[in-house]
Amino acid sequence: MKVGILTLEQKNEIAGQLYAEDSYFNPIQDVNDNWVISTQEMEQCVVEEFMWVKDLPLIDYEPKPTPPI
Amino acid sequence: MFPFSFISAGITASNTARTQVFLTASGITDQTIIDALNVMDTDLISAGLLPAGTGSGKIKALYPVVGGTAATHKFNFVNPLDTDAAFRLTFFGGITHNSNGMTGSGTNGYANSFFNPDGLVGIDSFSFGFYSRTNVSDGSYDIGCFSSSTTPVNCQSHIQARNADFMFGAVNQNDSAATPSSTDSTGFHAISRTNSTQETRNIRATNTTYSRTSQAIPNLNMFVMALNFNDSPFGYSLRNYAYYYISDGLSTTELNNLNTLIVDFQTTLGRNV
Repeated sequence: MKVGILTLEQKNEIAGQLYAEDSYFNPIQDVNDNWVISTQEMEQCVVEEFMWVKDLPLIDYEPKPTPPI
Repeated sequence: MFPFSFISAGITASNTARTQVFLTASGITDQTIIDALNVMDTDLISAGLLPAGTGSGKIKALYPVVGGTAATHKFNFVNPLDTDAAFRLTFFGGITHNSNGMTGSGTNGYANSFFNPDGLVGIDSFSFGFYSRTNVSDGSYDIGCFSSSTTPVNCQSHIQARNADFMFGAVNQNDSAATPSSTDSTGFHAISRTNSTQETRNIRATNTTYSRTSQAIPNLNMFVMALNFNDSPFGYSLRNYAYYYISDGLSTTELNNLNTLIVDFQTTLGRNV
């Protein structure tokens, strides 16, 4: 599964912002502490100021280990 | 079948009151969806899960996931206001919306229902469930919340439809029981508590009841397509969902009736699995 990788500045810019109607960005950290978003957010983004997310470099998604719950 | 079905002015069939409020809020005009909602509402009333007219009954939040967009999928059928207090879904991360419902990305997609069971349902009366169109075994969560800071610790209410070929679930418990076995995460899945000593899980109209003593109600909002773990999303799902509900505790008969009317609803919409 691929995800788009963000710089810390880019993550701060989109966190808590809408990328489409009723849909908010949700940047998360992968196992290497990279900030990433899903390809769905990249493809579905229609907010003019965030259209740059469509050009984010893609990396393989490596989730953080599951915490014991 | 419709309680108020008639032809007005020669051309207009009426809707149930609850359906009409939902249509006004969501802007849905597709007649197949409207017909399905009318029948669903009538069946919910007949089953004693909702009162006639408008508003909630045993069911507090119901997401028919129709219309094909986040803007229509977000509405709670029993109180379709665009507010947190009405338990309107707010979507985060990667989710695909279309006529088959909503599908999590499995990486970061989920929705906050703003339904906090603490104060909204009883410790011995709580149920929730969904209709899934995806069969996959993984560690993701379909719905729920989990607080590790309450007393007793690890207070939780949630469902994992299929994890290591078991259904995991809890209703106001302090652990998650791996029962019954589950090799198919499609269709109706629900969990319910109507007393202090037992939980019932329902998979596609098969009820299994276990001795499980209620512990405490998590004081957190219920997330869908993930678990609300101490106010953070966890265990993102990649399943395709075509229905969610949250309610007071439901009996085995009520769970089966709900399964039947949801399957009928999905069949009318051409998205049953």
